[in-house]
Amino acid sequence: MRVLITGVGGDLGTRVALALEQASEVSALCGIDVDPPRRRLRQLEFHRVDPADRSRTAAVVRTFEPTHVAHLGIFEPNARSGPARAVGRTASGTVGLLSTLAAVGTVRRVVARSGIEVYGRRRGSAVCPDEDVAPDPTTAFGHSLRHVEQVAHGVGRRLDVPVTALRFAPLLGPHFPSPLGRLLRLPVVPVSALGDPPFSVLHPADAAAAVVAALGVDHDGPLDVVAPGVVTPHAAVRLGGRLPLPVLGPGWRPARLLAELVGAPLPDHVRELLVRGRAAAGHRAHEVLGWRPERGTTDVVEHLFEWPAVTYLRPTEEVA
Amino acid sequence: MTDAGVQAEDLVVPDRSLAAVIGRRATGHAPVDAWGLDVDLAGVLRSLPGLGSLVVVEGVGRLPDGPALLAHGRVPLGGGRLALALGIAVAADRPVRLTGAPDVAPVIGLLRRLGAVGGHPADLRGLLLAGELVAVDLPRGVGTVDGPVAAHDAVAAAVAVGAPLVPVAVRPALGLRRARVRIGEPVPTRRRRRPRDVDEVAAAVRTRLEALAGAAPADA
Repeated sequence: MRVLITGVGGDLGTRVALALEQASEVSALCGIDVDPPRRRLRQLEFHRVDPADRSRTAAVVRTFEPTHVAHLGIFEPNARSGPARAVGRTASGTVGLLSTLAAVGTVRRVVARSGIEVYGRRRGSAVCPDEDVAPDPTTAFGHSLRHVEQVAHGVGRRLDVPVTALRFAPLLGPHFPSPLGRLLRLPVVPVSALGDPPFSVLHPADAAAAVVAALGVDHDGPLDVVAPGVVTPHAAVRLGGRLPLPVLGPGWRPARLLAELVGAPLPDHVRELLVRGRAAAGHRAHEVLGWRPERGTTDVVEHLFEWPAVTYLRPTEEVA
Repeated sequence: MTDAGVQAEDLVVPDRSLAAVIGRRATGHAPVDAWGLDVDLAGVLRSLPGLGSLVVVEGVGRLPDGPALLAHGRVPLGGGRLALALGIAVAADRPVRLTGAPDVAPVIGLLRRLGAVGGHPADLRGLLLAGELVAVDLPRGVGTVDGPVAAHDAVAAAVAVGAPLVPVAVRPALGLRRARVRIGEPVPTRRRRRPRDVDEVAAAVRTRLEALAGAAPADA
């Protein structure tokens, strides 16, 4: 199969590309992103493309003629881009890629990254939704992901190919750019004074494994992919040896400003997670993909705080 | 089983000693399920001496080991539903998930820690998949701030999961008289998948509930 990966410059995209390089059924691998991959990839044909440049995206897709697509070019607000730019890049990249796929017509399977933020956390909504619950996003990131799903499924229907939307729990890892991760690593972390709602996360390695598994399965529809177990904001803060700062109502405004000042912006979907919680049922993904995440939510949060000592290497030979 | 939440077997905390509970809370390892149940807190409350003597529970042996939808009649929250949850939780040593908790802070935060949930059908389905005992007001449905969830949805969730419906009659405490909870014969739902099965199961459990509530109570 000829696999095209968008967002290959991110941690998740690079992990997926590394895994696919080892897969015997992959005959050709192509990746596009605004940044180059984070590892050396020997078989990947990389094209540096800005998601807003639809004509360049179209040219790469037409030349490569992919049979399988992993659309991972999703920009979380305040992860690699500011909130407005993240939403714009995600929308442009998605429309540019998928409209070209519809025109090229070689694709047989599409896997798109989404997130459990699409369910939203409106009052009275499900605390732990599954795929049968209709998406009802309540944050900018949730709406952005919902748009990705809608466009992807529209193209899937037009081409009559299965589109799997992988709704990941918030991705968290020591080297993964994430506003939640940056916030939790602050010495003092704002948490809700009115509750301690549970949330799930997912390790990027497990997310990458889910993408690879989904590329080999004909499943048309969404799948929630979450790590087993949950953790609460207070517990996550204690796991890292940080101090929780209870915040109430209007107190979130100064908390957000302070967090941004110290380099950990607090977008609305992260604030919603801290105040309302974010979990989902992952059993359908286990059944469809025949695979389970290896790391539990508590393990992922603990891993976030592990900072191994830097070992400086002495050069063994002088160059020039 | 749902994997967002801690699975039913994972929720069994072996050491309920105060030192162990405090240790887990201090390090952030206190177990919580996806719906917010504080497993340590609920376990400590269940083991408080004298709590079980507040409610008389009859027929606890009829409860299945796995999930069940506890169908109770229209009973008040204070004396009725709380007595049901407390009595069965202590007698069976497992949490009972009361439904219809208002989704309003800070009330919802505290109620969820004790095991209460709102009334969304996905949550009812997920709890039953996780092997929990879920209590619903069967004739009326699950009352929520945003409107009642039809009893039909709750029964449909149990049928979808294959969890039995257990009729439970509650007589609230009055003066010196202790609250009394009577557990009836479960209505099985396995191998029932047709839409009309939901109505049949609901009718069967309503009949058993009425018979249970009308039967003469044993002396306390």
